[in-house]
Amino acid sequence: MYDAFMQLIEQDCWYKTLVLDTGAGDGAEARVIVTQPQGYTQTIQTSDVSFAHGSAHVTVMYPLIDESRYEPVARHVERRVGDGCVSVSRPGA
Amino acid sequence: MGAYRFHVQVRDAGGQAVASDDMTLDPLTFFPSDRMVIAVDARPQIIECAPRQFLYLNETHMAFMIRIREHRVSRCNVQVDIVTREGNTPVAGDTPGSGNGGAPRRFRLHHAFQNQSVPIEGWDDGEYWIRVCTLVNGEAVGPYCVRKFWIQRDELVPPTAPIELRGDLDEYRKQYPNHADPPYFTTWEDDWATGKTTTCLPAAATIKPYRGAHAEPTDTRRTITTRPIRVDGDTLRINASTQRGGSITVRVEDDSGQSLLDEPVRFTGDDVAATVADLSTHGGAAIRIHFDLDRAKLYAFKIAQGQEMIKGKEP
Repeated sequence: MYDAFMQLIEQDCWYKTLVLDTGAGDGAEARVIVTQPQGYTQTIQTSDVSFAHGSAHVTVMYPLIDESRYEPVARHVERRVGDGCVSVSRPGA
Repeated sequence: MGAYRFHVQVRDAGGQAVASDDMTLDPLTFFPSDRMVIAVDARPQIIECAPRQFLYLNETHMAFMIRIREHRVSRCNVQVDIVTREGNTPVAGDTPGSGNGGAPRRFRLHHAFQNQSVPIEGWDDGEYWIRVCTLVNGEAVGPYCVRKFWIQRDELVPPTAPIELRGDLDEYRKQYPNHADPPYFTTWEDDWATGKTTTCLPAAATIKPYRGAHAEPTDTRRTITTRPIRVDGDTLRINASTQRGGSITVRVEDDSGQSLLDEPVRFTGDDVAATVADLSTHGGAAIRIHFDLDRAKLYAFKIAQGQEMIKGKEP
């Protein structure tokens, strides 16, 4: 089995193409396993495999929905002296 | 932030692997910004989703906003559920708030933001993940869009026992007949020596126990002197807190102005029932108490008997 070099090409918002340097050869299908940073894994079977110039082009539906945004920095609220005090005002003020 | 890992295996018609490889991409590479700015629109995602708050303290519902980026994808169906950080078992889906999970909530996204609300009463403190996944022909496709929020209730309680420093509700109603009853009524003598009174309306919905209205210097220092108080307990306790470097100095005098303590007592810290003076030998005497506030808040005081809890008391 050829240990390939791979790159990713974004076709559009829905489809991504993974390009492997396969050397001489052909193939009928591909299995792509993607693991997200949080550990979630999707397994995608695809028959959208083509060969050109010694490389396999594997196209999969993998929409970018971007979970790298809105990452909060701090999540704990430290309760300090004085927290929870109420404001005081005159009625009608 | 971790990375995306891609593993690809190409097979021939006989099912034999002919090539494979692994690739790792960090999210900033996978979601490149073509404008070199950190903006939602600068990245090629198709869904925007964000919780209304990252941290929920005493709220009964959490809410998040979600929409499709219409100029990239005209329409899209999604499924959404909420899981704990520790496990992947949904805690909210089609039956939000039931606490017993359920199928993911499915709906169509539009360009306009949709507000989704999920009851969170009874949920444990901790980190939760909103998981959004696109649907194609009813099947989940692609990665989860994960948004995080936290629930943290352990250090807050709703007000249960507002402090009554002075005054009563009937008096308030007479003085302000056109006002609705305040939720937590109390009055506070702005200057107890002169008898000038100010009605105080605690405005916060969530306070610490026994922390209602308080006296606090408008500048850094101030002295509050009580009217003569009959000693009907054995210890003087205060409910107070001081800032860093601040203090409350307590002096106790009899009717003639003679100090009843060997020396003034200095309090620092944050306590709802700090014992500051032993008055057991002055039972029945009329005393005045001076509180010298320096970057401090005095919520209440009481001449207490035994382990009696402190609350403000009419002298």
